[in-house]
This record gives sequence, C-alpha cells and structure tokens, in this order.
Amino acid sequence: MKTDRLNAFTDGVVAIIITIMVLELPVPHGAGMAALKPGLTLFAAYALAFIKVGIYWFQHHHLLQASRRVDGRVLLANLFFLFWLSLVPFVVRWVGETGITRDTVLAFGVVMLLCALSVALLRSALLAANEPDAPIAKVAARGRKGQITIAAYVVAIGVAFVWPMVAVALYFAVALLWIIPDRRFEKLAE
Amino acid sequence: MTPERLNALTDGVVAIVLTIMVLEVKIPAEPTPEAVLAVLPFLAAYLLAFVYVAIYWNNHHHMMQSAHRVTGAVLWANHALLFWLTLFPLMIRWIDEAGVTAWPTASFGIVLLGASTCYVLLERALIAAEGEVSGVKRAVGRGVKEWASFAGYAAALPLAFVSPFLSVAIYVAVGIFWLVPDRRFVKRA
Repeated sequence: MKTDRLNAFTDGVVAIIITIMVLELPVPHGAGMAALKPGLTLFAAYALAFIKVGIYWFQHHHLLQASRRVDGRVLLANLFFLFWLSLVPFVVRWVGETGITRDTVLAFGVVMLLCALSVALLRSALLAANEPDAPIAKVAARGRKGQITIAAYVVAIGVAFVWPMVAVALYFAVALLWIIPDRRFEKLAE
Repeated sequence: MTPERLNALTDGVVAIVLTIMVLEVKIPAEPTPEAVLAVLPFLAAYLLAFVYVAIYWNNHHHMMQSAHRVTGAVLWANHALLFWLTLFPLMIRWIDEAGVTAWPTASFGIVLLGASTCYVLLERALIAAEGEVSGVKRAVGRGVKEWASFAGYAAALPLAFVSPFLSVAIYVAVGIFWLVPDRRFVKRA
C-alpha cells in the first residue's frame, strides 16, 4: 500500500489536535492587560504543547518521506501514535483547570513518553514494511536523540512526584533537543 | 523533502481556525434592529480576522507553488506561523468581550505582527533551502510589501492607546493592501 492516505489522515488528525487546544484558552474578562494574567499558565502550556505536537509531526513527516510502502502493522502503529497524540489537548485542558500540579505534570510526561515510544514502534513497523534498500533503511537506524528523549521522559515522570517544575524544565529541554530536526532525512532528499 | 505534507497540515489548521471563529458569532437576541446592531461590532471583527487568515492562506498557497524543497527551518517557520494564526479566534473573542478598547486592539496587532514576522521567516527559510535557483527568491525580491506591513502594524500598536479605531483603520488598510494576492508569484506561474 502507498503512503498517501496514511499521511492525509494523520495530517487531518494533527491539524485538529493543535487547533482544538486554542478553544481551551480562556477569553480575558475585562479590557486591561491584567485580564490576561489568569490565563498565562494555560497559554504557556498551550505554546509548549503546540511545539511538542509540531515536533512529533515533523518526525512523522520525516519517517514517511523516506518510506515507499505501508502495511497493516504500520496502520496500527500509526493509530496507536495518534491516540497518544490526541490526549495532548486533554492534558492541556487539565492544566487549565488545576494549574501546574504534580498530577498534571505527571500526565503530560506519561502522554509524551507514550508518544515517543509509539514513534519508535512506527519506525520499526515502517522498517519491516519497506525493502532493505528503501531510503528509510539507510536513515532510520535507532537515533541517539530518540533514546535520550525516552530516557528524559522517564526521569521527568519520576521527578514530577517531588519537583513538578523540574519535570517541566525537562520537557522544555527535550523540545530544545529537537529544534534541529533529524538532518539525515534532509540529506536523503537531495 | 517536498512540501506536499506541509501544505496539507497548513490547509487543515487554517480550515479549522476559520471554522472555530464562526462558532463565536452570536445570533441577535431578539428580532429587532437594536439586537442586530448589538452583534454588528463582533461581525466586523470576525470579518476582519477572516479576511486576514484568508490573506495568509492565499499568500502561502501562492508562495508554495514556487517552492520545491523544505528543510527543518521551513517546518519550524511554518509551524510558528500556524501558532499565530490559531490566536485569531481568541483575539476576536476578547474584542467581543471587552469591545474595541486599547489592550484587545493592541493584542490583535501583536498577533498580526507575529504572523507577518513568521511569514517572512518562512520566505527566508524557503529561499535558503533552494539557494540561488529559488523561485521564491526571484519572486519576493527585496520584500518591500512585507516591510511596509511591519511598519503599519508597528505604528498601530502604540496608536491603540490613543484611539483603538485608528489602529483598526491601519489593520483594514494593510489588509486591503494584501487583498490582491501576491502578483509576484502569479506572474511566475
């Protein structure tokens, strides 16, 4: 099977995930700048979630760009990935409700960890579905960045029990790590 | 990497942004001219935001016709542009709540400034991805239109604290200025 419809479906779901989060942002009550203050935490959570979903979409984009074929296992792995990604707006909403607490930081970490693990699963499914000489076989060897990311989320989940803000700092640090997307895929297209 | 999926994601996000804005439009409370008048300011804000989002989409569409290669920098610039576009619905909700007053009007200008900055960054990233052969580079040239818009928004921000309606007039003027889609790309096509 070709990759087109899997891509179109994923793009649709991701577009909806990042846009429904904005519905959670509270409308300021009042005309002054002070009216913005109650929504600042949620706004920061929204910005972080927007970046995270973007990073996952970039990774998906890169993996599929290097693939020629998909099979049933890839479709399932992709659905599994979309499931965890679709929980991001839910966690953002929770942050809006109760602020940055142990539980919300923990939930964000768990969702992020499962997103990262499901991308790894998707990658191995794609590797299995494509011929050994397909572009993905050359570039998708297990990356160090992916391993660091998974390790960082595991640490963040543990840390969230004691210092939630340290876990939040780890989430930002992981995002920084991905600012330069995987160069191997860019070179591939040349 | 080719731009098809970047375009697909952008189309999805822009379509949803336009649609969630319409959810905010209120029906007149009673079948009287007064009740209709009461919802008119919000309708005007909705129209302005709708036109602005449409302008961004049109220009994105035109520019991407000339782009053939995307890089990590292009993905980020585009994602940042999408971030600013998603804030339009929030801005018109605030204007609905607080009226055309200083802070909401200035904030609308900040969103416009953010979106236009990211649009220019996207232009630059697309040019950098293809170098001298870039079709975007030949079409954009020095980007006079972009700089003029920046100047307009930058002037509108402080003016919102003098008279918010002056800022609105600038937003409308810059919008009209961009309403004709980018001819530079049409010519190339």
